[in-house]
Amino acid sequence: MIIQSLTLQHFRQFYGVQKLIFGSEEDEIVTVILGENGRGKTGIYRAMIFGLYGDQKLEQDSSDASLTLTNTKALQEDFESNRSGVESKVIVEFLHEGKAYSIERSLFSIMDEKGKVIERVQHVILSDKENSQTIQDEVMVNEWMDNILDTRVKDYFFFDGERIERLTRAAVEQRNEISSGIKNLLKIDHLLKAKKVLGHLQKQTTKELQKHSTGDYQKKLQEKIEIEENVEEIYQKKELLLQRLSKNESILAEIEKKLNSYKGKLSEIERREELEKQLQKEEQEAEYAFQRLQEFNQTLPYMLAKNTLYSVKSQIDAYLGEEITDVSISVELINQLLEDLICICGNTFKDDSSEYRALKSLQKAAGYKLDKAAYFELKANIMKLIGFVEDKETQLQHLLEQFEREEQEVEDLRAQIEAVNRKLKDTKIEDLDQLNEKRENVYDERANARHELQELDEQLIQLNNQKEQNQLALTNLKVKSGVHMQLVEKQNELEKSIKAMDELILGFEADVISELEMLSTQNFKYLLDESGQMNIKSVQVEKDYSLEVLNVYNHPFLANISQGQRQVLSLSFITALAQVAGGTNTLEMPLFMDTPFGRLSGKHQNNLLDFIPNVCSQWILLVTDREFGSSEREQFISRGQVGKFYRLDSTEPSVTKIIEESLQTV
Amino acid sequence: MSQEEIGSLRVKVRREYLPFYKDLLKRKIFKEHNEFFTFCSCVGKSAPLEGQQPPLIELCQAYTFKEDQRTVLKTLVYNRKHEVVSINEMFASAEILADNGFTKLLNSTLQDLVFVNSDGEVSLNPGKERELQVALSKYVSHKMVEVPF
Repeated sequence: MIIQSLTLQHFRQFYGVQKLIFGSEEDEIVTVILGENGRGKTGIYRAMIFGLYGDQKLEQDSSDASLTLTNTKALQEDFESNRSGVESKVIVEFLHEGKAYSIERSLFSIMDEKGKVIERVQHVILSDKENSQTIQDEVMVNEWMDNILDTRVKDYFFFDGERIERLTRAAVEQRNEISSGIKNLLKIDHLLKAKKVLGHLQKQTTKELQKHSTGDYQKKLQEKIEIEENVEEIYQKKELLLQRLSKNESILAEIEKKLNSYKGKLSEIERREELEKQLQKEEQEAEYAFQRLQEFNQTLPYMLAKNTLYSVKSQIDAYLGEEITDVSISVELINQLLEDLICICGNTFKDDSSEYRALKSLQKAAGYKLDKAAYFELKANIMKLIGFVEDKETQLQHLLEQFEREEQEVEDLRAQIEAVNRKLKDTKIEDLDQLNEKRENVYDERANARHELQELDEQLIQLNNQKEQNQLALTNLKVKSGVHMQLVEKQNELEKSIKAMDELILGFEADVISELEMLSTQNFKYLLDESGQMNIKSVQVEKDYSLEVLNVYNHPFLANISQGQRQVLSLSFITALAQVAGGTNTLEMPLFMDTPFGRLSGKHQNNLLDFIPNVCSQWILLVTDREFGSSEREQFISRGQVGKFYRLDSTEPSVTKIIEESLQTV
Repeated sequence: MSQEEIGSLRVKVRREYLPFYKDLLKRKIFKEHNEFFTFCSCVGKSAPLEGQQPPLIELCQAYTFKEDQRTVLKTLVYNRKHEVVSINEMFASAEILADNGFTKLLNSTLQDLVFVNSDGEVSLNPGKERELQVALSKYVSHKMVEVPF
């Protein structure tokens, strides 16, 4: 998708009809929209999201805040004249796979005497300009848009710079949503859908087979159906739990937003925020310490056996008697030499010579060693183990102390948070007390839901084991069953197909993830400043597409990087995603960024200006004066990548004019 | 000793103890059954090897035991029988030691961490993984400073 223009009619600060045309020519893909705070940069961002997806609110808006999208001046004028209402409108024109489309969404609004505004969606029209076809059903339009850019990952391409770093902080539950969106973007979900269809067919065949079979085979088929139904049920329960958790996250975000308004008044809120951050870090450290202790478990039996190892070694020493000569040649060879009376060097000797006696003694030693080989072997193994366990006591002691220290720190932090929570529940500010109580309840509920999820996962493991056993039994019984061969063959083929599909999906996903990792690391390294490059080794993309950063020692490091670095990390991943999804070409998708440079250092910003135009097909930037100073302007002019430049000017209250200018004459 | 040499010999534990072994794997406290089995054998190293033993069921295949684990078991058995015995006899004796070790742990270290159902089956109480890990580590740590008599 390449966005050609955005038309606004009475939308937010934009009174009347105003239009932005975006740079999309091959080497002029950048559009810069410059505006001071309050001039309507976010209004343009809202218009774009509303136009494309119909979202009337952004993630940063609180759910109960009344937000009017229609222009205030237009509403006031209507109120003062015939009070027939105002139509506000957004039209987005864009190209997709070479074809031109437009989406138009309008709102009808009216203001009453008390200044209250009633606003509702009036219409939506998606037009295929080439074929002069239109769709006016909202659900169908949204589905069509989802096919171009999945709504679950739209935040990756249309985002507010201040919040982009939050993509690296997504909770488990949000990750699920994002991960599904990414799978859609990367077309992995096509394979998943195909697998689902095969699974459905297989289920039907199993039921049919069960009807036509008898005895043990029928019983096992019944068991198979039951196991599969249980698995399905667990997945459904998991889905519900994830929805519950996702709802909890939104409630929590809402509560936090409200609590933030008390931030200046109550130091405890900031204190709690700080403590919770520390707790998260300490919990992670405690987890690592626990894992290290766990890894040591296979050594524990050897340590327990230490005294016995010493004792048995002494017993074997005593049993084997004095130290004997080390014999490195076989008994057979010694016997041969004695029989032939020829030394190993080729010289002959007599049967009463010193050479003869030496060989005789060697023969005795070798025979003895052969006879007691099992004892010698055990002794050698014992000595090896004794060497291994030698310094393990100190190691274990150290690991234990480390773990207990981390656990204690976690406990202390929890107690401190508990104390702050108690204070916050009793501030005598009614709203605040209620908010804090609600917050704690949501936390409890979240913990319970996560525990339930864990239990369901364990049940799934058990069911999968049962499934394997059942499959084995069915394979054995199938031969004797004499059931309808055609059905058996059909089921066999379906099983094979599902297995092949599974392997295909796993392989493809692994390839995609490793490519994403490679490109994210490459982009991140390019964008980071020197000190960041020194500390950070690579980006790791997990199975659910969440991100981790590894430091030079290959340890997880995400918790330690700054907000600015997190922004850069998010951008590295987004660009990598665009690169992977685009395949050999640049992905035809705009990067729309509202105030992206606020938290970035000069070096990071310069690197971004260099990098992004090379990896995306359109870049739309909403910036403030502070972000877009003379050096940035010169940087863009020298590269010649800016196709369009606009300034947002406030002409009167509630009215912003979009003025196109030349970058050179600013 | 290779898999071919050991053959299909199975290592067994008491039926009631098997769920606990499985829990340890499921909760990732031990990676393989042979680890906790060897651990228990060391704990129960002084158990009488003669006399009636409870019926046992399969835990895992003997070939899964690593060389060092087999050395430990061989050493424990040697300490009791004062001779190097065959692999079958070694595992048969180790099963008795491990059973005794598990029972000992059940009555001490594991007491507050497990659930025993009406059939006598022992399982790890959910949420007690960390406590168990620390308890096992501490058990070994204490044993290392004990006077060995």
